[in-house]
Amino acid sequence: MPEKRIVLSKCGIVDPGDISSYLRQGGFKAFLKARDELTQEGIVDEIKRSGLTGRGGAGFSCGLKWELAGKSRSKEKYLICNADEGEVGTFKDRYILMHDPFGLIEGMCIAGLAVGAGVGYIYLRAEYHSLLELLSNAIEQVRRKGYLKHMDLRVFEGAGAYICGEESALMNSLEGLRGESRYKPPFPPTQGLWEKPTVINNVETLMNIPHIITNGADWFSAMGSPRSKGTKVFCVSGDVARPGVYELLMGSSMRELVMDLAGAQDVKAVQIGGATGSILPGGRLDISLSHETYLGSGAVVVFNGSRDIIDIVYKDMLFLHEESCGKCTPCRDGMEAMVEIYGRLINGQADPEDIRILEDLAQTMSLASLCGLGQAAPVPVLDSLKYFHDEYDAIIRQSVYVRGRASVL
Amino acid sequence: MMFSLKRVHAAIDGKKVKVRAGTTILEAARQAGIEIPTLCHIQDHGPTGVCRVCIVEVEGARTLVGSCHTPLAEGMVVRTNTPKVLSVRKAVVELMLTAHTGTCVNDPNADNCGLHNLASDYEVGAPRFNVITPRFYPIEDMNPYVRRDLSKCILCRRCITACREIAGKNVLTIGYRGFDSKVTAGYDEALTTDECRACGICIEYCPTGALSRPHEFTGIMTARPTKGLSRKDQTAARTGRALLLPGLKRELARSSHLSREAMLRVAGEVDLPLCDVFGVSSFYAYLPRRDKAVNRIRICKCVPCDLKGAPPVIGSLKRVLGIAPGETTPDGKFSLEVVSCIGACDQAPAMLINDDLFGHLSPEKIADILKTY
Ligand SMILES: Cc1cc2nc3c(=O)[nH]c(=O)nc-3n(C[C@H](O)[C@H](O)[C@H](O)COP(=O)(O)O)c2cc1C
Ligand code: FES
Repeated sequence: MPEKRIVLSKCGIVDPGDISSYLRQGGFKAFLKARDELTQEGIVDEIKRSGLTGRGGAGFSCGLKWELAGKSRSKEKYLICNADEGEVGTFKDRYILMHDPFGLIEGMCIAGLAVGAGVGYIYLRAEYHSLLELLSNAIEQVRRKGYLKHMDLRVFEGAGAYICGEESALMNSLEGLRGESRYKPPFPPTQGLWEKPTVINNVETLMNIPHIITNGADWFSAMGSPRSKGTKVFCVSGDVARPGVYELLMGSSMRELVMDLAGAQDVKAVQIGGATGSILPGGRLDISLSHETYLGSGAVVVFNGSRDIIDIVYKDMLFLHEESCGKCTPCRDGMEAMVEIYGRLINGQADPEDIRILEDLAQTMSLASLCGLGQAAPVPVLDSLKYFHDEYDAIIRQSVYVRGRASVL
Repeated sequence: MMFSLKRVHAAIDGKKVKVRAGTTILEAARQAGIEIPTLCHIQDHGPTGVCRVCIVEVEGARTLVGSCHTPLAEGMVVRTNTPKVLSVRKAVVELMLTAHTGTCVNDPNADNCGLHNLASDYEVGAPRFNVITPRFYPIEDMNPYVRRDLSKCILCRRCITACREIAGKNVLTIGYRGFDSKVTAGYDEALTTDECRACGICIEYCPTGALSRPHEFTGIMTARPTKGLSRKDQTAARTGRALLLPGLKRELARSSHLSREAMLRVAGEVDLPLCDVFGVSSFYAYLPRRDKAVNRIRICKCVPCDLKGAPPVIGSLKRVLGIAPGETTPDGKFSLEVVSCIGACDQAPAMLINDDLFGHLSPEKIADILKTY
């Protein structure tokens, strides 16, 4: 199956600096349909029936979230677009914002109607500061067209913290608090920003909205797999000939993505979903990509035969160690302990007992951490232990400790 | 929390319980005579949920859940002492023991330490985990009212809750991020504030020996719980707070780094204490406090860039600039930071100079790129 461009259909075709080019491509027709022909419930129902799920990583039903917040009678509700995109290997939202900011804004305009949000925010990561002007300019043009009468749309800029992509940390950051995760429940649709009902969606999720409103829920739900409808934008990087963004139907095969499209050869392993993502051996490229299997944020990093898996996991751990918010014990102190063990593994100072300790630490972090960062941090550790155990064995066999003892015996 | 007349029914360790909707698992368990250990929780105050020793098993839940902050729901089946709960709880205590440098072996007051007692209850023994450098801080006893030995701090935040919610003051906050987190005052200064005079409420709530009364202290504590903010004040405070990050950014655009004076200015504008402004700004990687570089180079070190040759490019940057990561050139023209993924993995290895993105880097290209600044 070749690429199927829906979310990216206007990228490279419209001028991101000029709304009239977007309008010429049929832009804002979906918004006008939603505003003039559909009720609030009607929009929510369409999105719910489409089966659209979140593209930011967790894959929760978008319609269900909207319904929860939409039903609330609170006078103050918020809509947030998560453009924090900090997951290692993910760059699709940057690509979308750069090429089709109007598509996102149209999606947000519709979401605002559906939820009844009076204020919308785009939380933009600090690393994408260069896109701020383009985005603000696009919002201004939409406002002048009169499409933002129902919602005040603003851009809020982060300040360098991966954890602020986690929805509760993002809301804390927006409120001017430290960008630390909150315990859940309550979830944002009931108590989000300033404890008011809030819908948070990823950039790509919102990009799907105008297409669903225009073409209908049935058109959308006919694509993909049972629990994953529509398409997914993947970001391929690492050892491939053609790194970049590729939009494929949900359920497409990994082989097609990394070999046929991105031009990988000699694949030793792939990591799906960033630094907290699963690591799979090259022998398993026939898996399909969907919420049922592997997906995450859509980041796929490819490793060729020359790569050292333990070193890769170590670098993932260094990233998570640096980015842990430090609020809860298992993640804050557990990441430090994790990095300590990997440091010794890499330096040839590990001992067979360390693998057992590593597994206990992984279990503790995934079961007791407050948020998704600490809970998912052990995933690459456990996957690499599962599929590349021989590399751990080899490194331990060579380690100073074991060699030292062998010479004594 | 809203008061509700609704009741929920659930089972904790096989015991049937019936409590008012909104009651936490911890509270419900206590009412049923089942003890769950806690460290960060202060009875009758909102949950903090950070220590994680109160975790329990809830049937159908993907992970263990914090009992101090999770409301009991209708039909929940909770177990507080399964082998899984006990082993994870023990590991959490081990992590706390490992991460701090407090030495209590010969401390006559160790029996008063909540962590020490928990460790004995769970027969933790010598922790299996190690850390690279345990948190260590010199003892602070400049303040006549509170002595701080933060090496013994387990970051449970009870002192912060006590200071804010019980004493009605705003002296303490959490500063920095991750493993570097620390309970800070002001611009991470020694606790010398006069506000602590005749207070010391934080000491009462510290579960370890991190906070104690100086030996010569003879005064009496007179601090009284204060009333909460009115609704109108809350809205004002909320609006002020939301302007904090934009305010810090504005200062940064003016002076390239955030000095104590700059933070004080922002604190005045948004009507927050300096400790809060410091706590928030030290959380973020892109709000520098010390170096005053004109141009900030941020090069990505994450896996996709690493695979594509970030290390030699970093080497080239170090050579050409004559500085190490974290430093600024003597003329103040460039600073160099090695940072987390910047979302340009398709152009790896990549770096930002201020807001300009440079991709497909190689060591040879560095000198020419830097010349354009
Ligand atoms: C550590 C962590 C980082 C996250 N980073 C992002 C991110 O950068 N962008 C994003 O859209 N979602 C991110 N998420 C997921 C969000 O919490 C949230 O699920 C998502 O924004 C919801 O939008 P969606 O339903 O449209 O996917 C992250 C989650 C975790 C636990
Ligand atoms: S008492 Fe529940 S997390 Fe600390």
